[in-house]
Amino acid sequence: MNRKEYMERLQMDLEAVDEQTAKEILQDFTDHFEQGLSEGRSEEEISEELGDPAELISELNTRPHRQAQAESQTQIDALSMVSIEAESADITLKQGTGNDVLVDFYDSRNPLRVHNYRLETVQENDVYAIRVIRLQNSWLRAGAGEHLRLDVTLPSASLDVKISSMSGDIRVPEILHCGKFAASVQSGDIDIRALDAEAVQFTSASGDIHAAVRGELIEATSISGDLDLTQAHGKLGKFRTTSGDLDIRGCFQAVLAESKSGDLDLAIEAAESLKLDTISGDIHLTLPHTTGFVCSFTTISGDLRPHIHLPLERRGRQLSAGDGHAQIAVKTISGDLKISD
Amino acid sequence: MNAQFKKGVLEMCVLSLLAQGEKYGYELTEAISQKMTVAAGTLYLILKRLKDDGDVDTYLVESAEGPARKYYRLTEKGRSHEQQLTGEWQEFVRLVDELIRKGEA
Repeated sequence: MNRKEYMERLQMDLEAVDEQTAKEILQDFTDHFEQGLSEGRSEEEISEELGDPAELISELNTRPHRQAQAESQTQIDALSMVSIEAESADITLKQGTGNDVLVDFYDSRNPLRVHNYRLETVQENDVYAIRVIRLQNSWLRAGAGEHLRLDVTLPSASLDVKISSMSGDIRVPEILHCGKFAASVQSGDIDIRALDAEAVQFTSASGDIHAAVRGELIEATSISGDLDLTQAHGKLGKFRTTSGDLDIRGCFQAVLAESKSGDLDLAIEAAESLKLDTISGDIHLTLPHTTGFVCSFTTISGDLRPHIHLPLERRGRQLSAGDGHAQIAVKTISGDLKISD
Repeated sequence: MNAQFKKGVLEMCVLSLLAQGEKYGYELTEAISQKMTVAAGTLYLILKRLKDDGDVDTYLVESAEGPARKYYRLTEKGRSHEQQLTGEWQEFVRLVDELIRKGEA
């Protein structure tokens, strides 16, 4: 190929790529030709050396900024769950108005990427599975996943959702209605603006969880990550942490909360039964609008500090207030308990 | 040479060559294609990605004989990235060497 042909082919193949990238590439290749020619090499030789334009450009995406997109062609009645598996891609979940699951997988910074990851979407019986898979030759690119994004738009119908991530974050920026919602992360964070589900389960190792959720059963477990639930609404809340702090504000009939060293800061309305357990973590329990409770506090070295406006009666380890309606059992080793209303 | 190996390793080679000294595009592509069969175009794409990632930055040098030359040099980030990659590579080579030599007495 001569220079003119080569550059024309290159220009054509660059049509699908964004302007800035195309401009830079054309300039680099032009300079290369100039330099080669000035050394007395032939146009053919230089074209040969640069490589086939179509092959080169196919290493870029044909759709700039998008590595892969997928649309489910499923019958919505056949689908009961959407499952998402990724390691480092940040996952954003939204609810659409249609019947399909829409998936967008891309590198947020750069359309020009060696493809170390591949998107797989497959319907297995009644589950629509979305997986981001790391390719074999990526051993030298540790950490190459940080800028990956996986945007999933769910159908308008309420399905079960299961998400598993390692370092990627999970975000739900707008209200989502679904069946059972389960999200698990290692170091990534979970950030949920509003979730209306049948049941909710959050699992994290070191990632933080911030969520406003509604569900009959709300379960959250973390190791060192903090757990921050606002406007939580459910029948039963089960919360467990090792060293992370727990900050739960909402309405539950029953709450079970366990921690080792993390502190518990709970403001629970309409509670009938609360069971709180820590080793060294301090507990601050607020019971807004409470009519009364009976609280048994078992501790080795912790202090009990009631800040209650109802008539109080203290009998050894048991504190009664008001009509003694709610049942509260607190156990710590060294953690303090402060109860307010 | 195995195509899969090459892809992952090329980026490291580009970074390493630049660690040895700033170079302009043509100079770099010639240095690499002397040792390996690789499309110069691929190298320009790698250079562009490294620039977008912040591992490399470029500057123009006017030339009397011809067009201005675009020089590439490593940034701080690029320098540490290069060290990380070459470290991993050497470790990898060492491990593979051990495995394949196990067969020999």
